[in-house]
Amino acid sequence: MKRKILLNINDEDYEVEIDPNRLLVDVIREDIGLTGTKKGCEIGVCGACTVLMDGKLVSSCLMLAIYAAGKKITTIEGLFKNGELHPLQKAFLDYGSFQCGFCTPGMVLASKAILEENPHPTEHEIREGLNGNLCRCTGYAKVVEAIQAVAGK
Amino acid sequence: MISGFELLEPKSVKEACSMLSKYGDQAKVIAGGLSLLLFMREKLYRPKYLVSIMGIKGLDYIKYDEKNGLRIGALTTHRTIENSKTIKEKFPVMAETFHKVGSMRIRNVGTIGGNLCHADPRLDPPPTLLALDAKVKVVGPKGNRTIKLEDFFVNYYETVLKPDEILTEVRVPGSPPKTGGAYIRFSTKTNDDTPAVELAAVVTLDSKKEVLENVKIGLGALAPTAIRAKKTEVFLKGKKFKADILEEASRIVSQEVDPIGDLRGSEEYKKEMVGVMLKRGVKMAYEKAGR
Amino acid sequence: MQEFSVIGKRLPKVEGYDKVTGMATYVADIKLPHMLYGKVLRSPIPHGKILHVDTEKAKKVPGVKAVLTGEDTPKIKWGAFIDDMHVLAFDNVRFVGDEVAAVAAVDESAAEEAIDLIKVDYEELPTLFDVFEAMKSDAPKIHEKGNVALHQKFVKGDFEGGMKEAAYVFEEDFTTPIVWHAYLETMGAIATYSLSGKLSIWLSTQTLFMARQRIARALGMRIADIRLIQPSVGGGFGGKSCDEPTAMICGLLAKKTGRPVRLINTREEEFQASRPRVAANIHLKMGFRKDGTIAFKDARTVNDNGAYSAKAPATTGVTLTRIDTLYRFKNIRGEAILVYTNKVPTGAFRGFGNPPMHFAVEQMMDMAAKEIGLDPTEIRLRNATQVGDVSIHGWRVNSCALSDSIRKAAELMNWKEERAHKKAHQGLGMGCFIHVSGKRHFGNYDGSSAVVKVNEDGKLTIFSGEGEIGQGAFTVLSQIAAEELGVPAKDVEINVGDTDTSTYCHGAYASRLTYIAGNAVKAAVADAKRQLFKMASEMLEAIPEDLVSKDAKIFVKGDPSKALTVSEVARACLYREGGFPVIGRGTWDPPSELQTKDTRDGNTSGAYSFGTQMCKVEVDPETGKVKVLSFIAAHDSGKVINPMLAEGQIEGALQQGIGYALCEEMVFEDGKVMNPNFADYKILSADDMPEKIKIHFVETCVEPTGPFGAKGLGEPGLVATSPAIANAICDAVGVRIKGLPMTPEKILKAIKEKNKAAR
Repeated sequence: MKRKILLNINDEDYEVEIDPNRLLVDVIREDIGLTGTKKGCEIGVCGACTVLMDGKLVSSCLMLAIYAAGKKITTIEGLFKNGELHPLQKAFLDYGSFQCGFCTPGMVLASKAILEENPHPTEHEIREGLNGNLCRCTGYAKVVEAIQAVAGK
Repeated sequence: MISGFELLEPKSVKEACSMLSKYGDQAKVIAGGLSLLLFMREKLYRPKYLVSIMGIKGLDYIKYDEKNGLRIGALTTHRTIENSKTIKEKFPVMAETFHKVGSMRIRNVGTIGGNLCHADPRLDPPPTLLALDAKVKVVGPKGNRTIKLEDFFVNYYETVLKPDEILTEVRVPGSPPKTGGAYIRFSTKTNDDTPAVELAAVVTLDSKKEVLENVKIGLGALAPTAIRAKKTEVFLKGKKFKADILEEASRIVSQEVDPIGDLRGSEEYKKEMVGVMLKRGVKMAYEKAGR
Repeated sequence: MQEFSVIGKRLPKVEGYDKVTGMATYVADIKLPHMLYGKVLRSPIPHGKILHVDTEKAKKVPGVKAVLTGEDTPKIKWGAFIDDMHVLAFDNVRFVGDEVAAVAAVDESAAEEAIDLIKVDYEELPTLFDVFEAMKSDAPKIHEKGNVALHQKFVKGDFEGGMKEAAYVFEEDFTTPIVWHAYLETMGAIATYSLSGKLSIWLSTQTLFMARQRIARALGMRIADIRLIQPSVGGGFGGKSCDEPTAMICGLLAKKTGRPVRLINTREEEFQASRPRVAANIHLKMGFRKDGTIAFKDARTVNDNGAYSAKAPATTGVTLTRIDTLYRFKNIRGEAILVYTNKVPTGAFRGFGNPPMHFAVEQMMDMAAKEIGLDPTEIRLRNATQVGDVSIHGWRVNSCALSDSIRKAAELMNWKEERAHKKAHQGLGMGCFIHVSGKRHFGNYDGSSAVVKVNEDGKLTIFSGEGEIGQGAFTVLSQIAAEELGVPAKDVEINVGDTDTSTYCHGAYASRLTYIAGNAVKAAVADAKRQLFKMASEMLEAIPEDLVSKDAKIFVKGDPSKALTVSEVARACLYREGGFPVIGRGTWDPPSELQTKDTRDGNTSGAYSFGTQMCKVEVDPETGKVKVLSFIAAHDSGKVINPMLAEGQIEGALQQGIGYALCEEMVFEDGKVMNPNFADYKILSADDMPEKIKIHFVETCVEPTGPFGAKGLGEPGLVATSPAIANAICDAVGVRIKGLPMTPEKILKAIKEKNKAAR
């Protein structure tokens, strides 16, 4: 039976009426139309579906949409505020930290979470934090550089 | 696609158990949902009812006192456990183990209760919890029971939980002084790959820090459930920490397991690796115990 | 060295803002009104005859609008090189995953339900999974013409003489597995069909025009009745070259229903539906003279085609012959056999057949070096191709900095010192490579074309049908255009690839875009520049030959005070009687030739790239596990247009190359892929990659035929990676692993065998 829930995404409220079996990634992408969050594997391994839920990284492909009700969700679209790129987005641009861009939304959010937990991480800590955000294009070197650049500021 | 279901949201453990009683095998408990949703996507489970215990207050806690040891609520996430000051201080091997579970995304959502009830022998926490003599508290309509973790797992994805029971708490007794632990997760491919061998070693030394007064070895990914390497423990107990003792212990532990050859390694290789990890794990635990 | 304004600059990607903000639109992000969702039914058995397909129950599922089987297709066989593929099977299925039926429904769950209700009766046929079994003359046939899809043989030079000259001879077998592209975005398409007869498809593809041709052929349609639009593409690496029927199935569903249909593969389907790297079984024999020069090479490769021929016929020829221009081979014998098996069809993956033979030859070079007493760098320097060489297959090497790359890599690695003072179980290894910049295959044309319009504000819009799959084509082509006209990079925009509005281009493969498309774009801009200069010369009362353009201004050389902006000149062309908008057209086909069928002679590419990779590893002697500590890549790609993007290409290729070397492998059991997901097919994460990676571009020898001296760059990054690691492992623990991936178990086994033999 469908349920009405309120999802707060990027500081905006969206009311959706959905079946309990709907996954958060699908509701974000199909019902609300925010397609920055991607489906890469549907088993929580690749990180393309990463969103922040109350500030914590989660795999939206393994999250019931209903579980997200009442929580504060941030997708990649939420980082661009008041016409300004987030410093990490700017760094990704300047350091060439993406190529095809498909993993990039998840990668940027993961980078944000790494720096929020640890504003001055070592390279090892950065790489460990990025484990589980798969990229097939960049080899991660320039993702690490971008995070280091933002951390250094 | 995940099949359709009705989501029930009890507000108490009692209510949850009565829902499970009512719907029997048509219902499944859902906590964080990671493992369950994976299985539902593969169509291995198609429950008509999901009883979500996420709304039950009072199941997310970490408590410690000298008398009762550590008590962790079933809904405590891996992340909370890995970051807990208490656990880092009193049971550092637990913090290290939980840090290795999946990725940050998994650890933010996955719960210790969900992990244990899923009973996949390749998950990281069980070997360490086994080596720490953990017990679980289980609540059902007919009352509560406390079960040793080593008696909790039955087979792949199967525990002794009855369909109307819920695991509510994990208990770990306090460690005696001069105890050290190590957890090794040996994967043959990438760091996040399902391991070929999981080994947890918890060692308690005598007052002179020479003799292995007590040794507990938890193993994962090497049998249908996570297990304790009892024969190896018996062999090591009371012996001095020496290279030849470790060598013999590594031979014994290789014989205690019956792994399946798979993408991570052949049966022979895994048997050999558990021996290698045994030596390394006991050595690390011994060094930590001696500090 | 020439000074450039835009070439050689580390400019951010032109489509970057969209990608870092989540605004970039990939095919699964597109939703059209009234859209249906497509799903494909795939064969669960590896070989069988279709007796009957019952779709009745499927058709009755609420929301299902079409159920198609092979009978609903034109039953035309098609392929990249051999026409042996169908769109939906109508006679036999030949691998687990073979497309048998398709459904379009109002939502995914109805489509899935319908797929589950389609009942197919098969008569199971004998199966073949091993190439050596399949190539036997009495093996059951997978295709009517037999199981050998390709057989090439040649002897060149004085092979017998070479054999006599050899003072040292080595002979070994090497095997490489089927590995998968693992791009993050699975393949997908959205098709719409208008009653006027036009089929429009948004396709995650790297080869727009070739896809259009193949879709037309497979569906029995006119080429220009199909429009292919390239959305943002989430990686390709050769796997999205329309060598499989996703777009065709989607198109058919759209035609049948009259509604837009979106068909996206799940990750698990993707492992069956795409065309992974061709597995090679190489038997290699090489003879060396006392001075370390190569006396002869005798190579035989038996490659696994899988059930159908995608690009494997071409990759197999490449496996056999591309390396023959790395060194000055004079006497060679070669045989390549491509064999059908009942497994996923194999095809194009970055490197295109080149990596397996490099894995073999580059290890043998090290074996020879050790035996002869030469440093691994020295044996290669003594054999290295030099600029001006014409190789044994007639390849004309106009630029080559191979020797420089060997020396540079050694310097960056501190090769001699590191080798002399390495710790226990640590080792260093190297590998050299050659690769192409485009390859003449298709219809004796390997060129590119472009149109550029100069807008009234002086901004350039480029129309190129090559497309962008993340490698940086849009940015690099924009930089080339900007440099050619003398405008800032921000004054150039490149339009999305669309077969209706772009001119004919082959697409992204064979590392051809910078070199070939770059020249076409340069020619188009040069054409526009001629028109602008002609007008400007009138306005400035000068002759066109005396004019230059810089910083978006046109002026007489030496007199920048009297300058006209590009905008002013463009407007002057337009706003007058007999005026015209400035439109430049350019086309460029490289100076290459089609190769002969058997001997593979003919200058296949206009330019060749070379390079050297070196690495340091540590092997755990108790487990066999390898840790890659550092990697140096010294690449000769001529003049590098954008070093930041070029480094990114190589860093990414290294991730794939290290995975190929150490852990990636598609595992089959009875023809079924046993690891069709990211949990079981592991690709390296950030913490699996070595922290110390240094990329260096050896620009000591620019390519005279390349745009501003540039040549191919996209693929080479992983060609020499696996032998470099293999050689490092051998240096570390004294064992040579000849089968990829070099797993801990294989290495440990070899170490034990070595220790046993030593006793």
